[in-house]
Amino acid sequence: MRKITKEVSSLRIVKMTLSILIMVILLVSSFCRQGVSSASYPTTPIVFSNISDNSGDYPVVCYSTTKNGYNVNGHIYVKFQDLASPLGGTYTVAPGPTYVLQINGQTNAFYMSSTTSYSTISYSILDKSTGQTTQYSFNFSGTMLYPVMTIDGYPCVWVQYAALTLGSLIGRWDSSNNRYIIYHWRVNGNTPLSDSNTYFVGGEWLSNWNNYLATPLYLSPHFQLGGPDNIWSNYNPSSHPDYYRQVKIATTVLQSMENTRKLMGNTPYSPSCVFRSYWYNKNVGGWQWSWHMKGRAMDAGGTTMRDTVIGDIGAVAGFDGFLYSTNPNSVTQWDEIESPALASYLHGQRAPRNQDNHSGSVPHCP
Amino acid sequence: MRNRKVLLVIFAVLILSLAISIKTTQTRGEINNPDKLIEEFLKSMDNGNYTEVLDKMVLWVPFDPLNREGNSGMDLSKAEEIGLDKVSATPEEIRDSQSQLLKDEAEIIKHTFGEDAFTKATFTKERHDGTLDTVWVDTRTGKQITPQEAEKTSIAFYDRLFRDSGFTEDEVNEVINAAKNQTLTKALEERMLKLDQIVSANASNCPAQTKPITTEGYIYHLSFGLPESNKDYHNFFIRIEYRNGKWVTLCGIEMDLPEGEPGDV
Repeated sequence: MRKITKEVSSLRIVKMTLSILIMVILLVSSFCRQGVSSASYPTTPIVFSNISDNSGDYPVVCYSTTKNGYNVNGHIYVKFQDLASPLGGTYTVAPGPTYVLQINGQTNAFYMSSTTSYSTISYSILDKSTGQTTQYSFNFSGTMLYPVMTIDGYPCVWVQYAALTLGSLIGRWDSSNNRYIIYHWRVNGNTPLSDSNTYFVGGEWLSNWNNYLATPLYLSPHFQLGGPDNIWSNYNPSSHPDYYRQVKIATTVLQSMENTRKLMGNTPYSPSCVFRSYWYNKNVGGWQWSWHMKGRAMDAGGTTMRDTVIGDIGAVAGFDGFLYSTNPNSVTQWDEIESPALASYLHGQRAPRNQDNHSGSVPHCP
Repeated sequence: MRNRKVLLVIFAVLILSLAISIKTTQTRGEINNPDKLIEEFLKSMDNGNYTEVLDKMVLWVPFDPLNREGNSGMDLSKAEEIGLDKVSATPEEIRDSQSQLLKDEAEIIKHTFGEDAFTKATFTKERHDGTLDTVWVDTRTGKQITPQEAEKTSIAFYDRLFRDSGFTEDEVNEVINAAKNQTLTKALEERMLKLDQIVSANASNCPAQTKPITTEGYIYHLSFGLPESNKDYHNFFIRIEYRNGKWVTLCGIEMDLPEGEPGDV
């Protein structure tokens, strides 16, 4: 009996020793894993929201989806792939390593431990008056406040900068709900809207952006950024100065702007308004679903230009308050224009027909 | 005796788990036949059993109603797996407000289209697949790979492309280092543009691709006897999604009515 107890007791000691050993091994391996892996930071929600609003200081959140970001000493970081997917972009890695985000004809390059990023945009515009096609290639650089870093094994980027570079209209910290919000027109819950347009995107987050005030940049044969053509957002919201001179314009709009010039007998004109930031749109009392905010609309001229375009596109009234094109071979290629009852000028937009109320498949918030 | 007690406790725990599991399954609103659910929905709306409608269709979880964030009515246990973690209202609050909303909408519909609007209603369904998350896959094997493996595969792929396009490794490194340090000269910038173009043009051929984890679903469009030409104006949308092998409703209950003049657009 005593022997058995002793044996059991020995067995217990062996078991205890083994358990302790296993615990120690687990603890050591856990520390080792932490040691070789990258830094870890608290997670924070990053909300991706569609943007169609004109009410509050910031747009209402709608058609949203949420990803986990990281709070790095108060600065919010996001995994590259988590930034790309809700916006309908793609993410890949090239030598360097170079982290490449692509969306709507834009290629954006980021580098590990670097605060520098590059954005390249290439497209072509046909000048119908000469029949010549011009190729445009732009390469912009920007300096982020915080560098690209690896968190939990994933390359991550400072979300504020990267989101704007990818054509988001606004990125902001929502202190009342402890979350970061990105507003981008393509966000549509978990299924980004498809959009095959190439956009020229920029703003004061890019280096030397204001140089275009002194030396305007031709985006097409006859229309300039920074010149009299009002392509960028010409309203300085005092509470949101970062969004002064923001721009997002579809190259199809640039093409239609050129085509309109041709239609009007090659008469030069300057648009009164092309892209509107959220606050610019709000300030002018713009419509909450404005295509100016999406970079897909232009206002220009007066009734003559408007009525000439009406003839060109064979405009008929849609059920959403716009006149839409019935002429696939029109010179200008505007898809829709605003009704003459509402505008004494040309408001042309490159937008899908009959989408400007809640019955369309395009999200409408709120 | 002691062993018997232990067994009893284990047995009780098992029974309790089973009961909770059955209860959870019942209240999650899982359905196998979405068409039938829509029919039941219309019937319940017609009878004014709004709570019944909601309990059948909706997975109640907290969400943020003011910001219209996410989709009302998700199972709390599912919230994380579908990427939602921000909540600001209790399930009860949501249930009450949604119930009131349904009541209001049902009254409007009956007032507008007649008392028999729900019995005469028709519906069409439209495929609507969503993205839950993205993962890396190696397109050669079709298998999921880690971000680190994806990075290695991608780099090898583009490295080869750059070489095939006439760039030496030193030239590529020169451009990348200059880009990192913002010391790009005009000549290097041109090379960088060229490298970017190679990446853009070949991105879809890279063996490492991000692949969305998709969910299958439908949007149901309910119409209330309006002429075909006008049906776009008066639709009741209900989004139903299929997640992890189960049909669940994500409460996309919205009613579309004609808007006023758009004003300055």
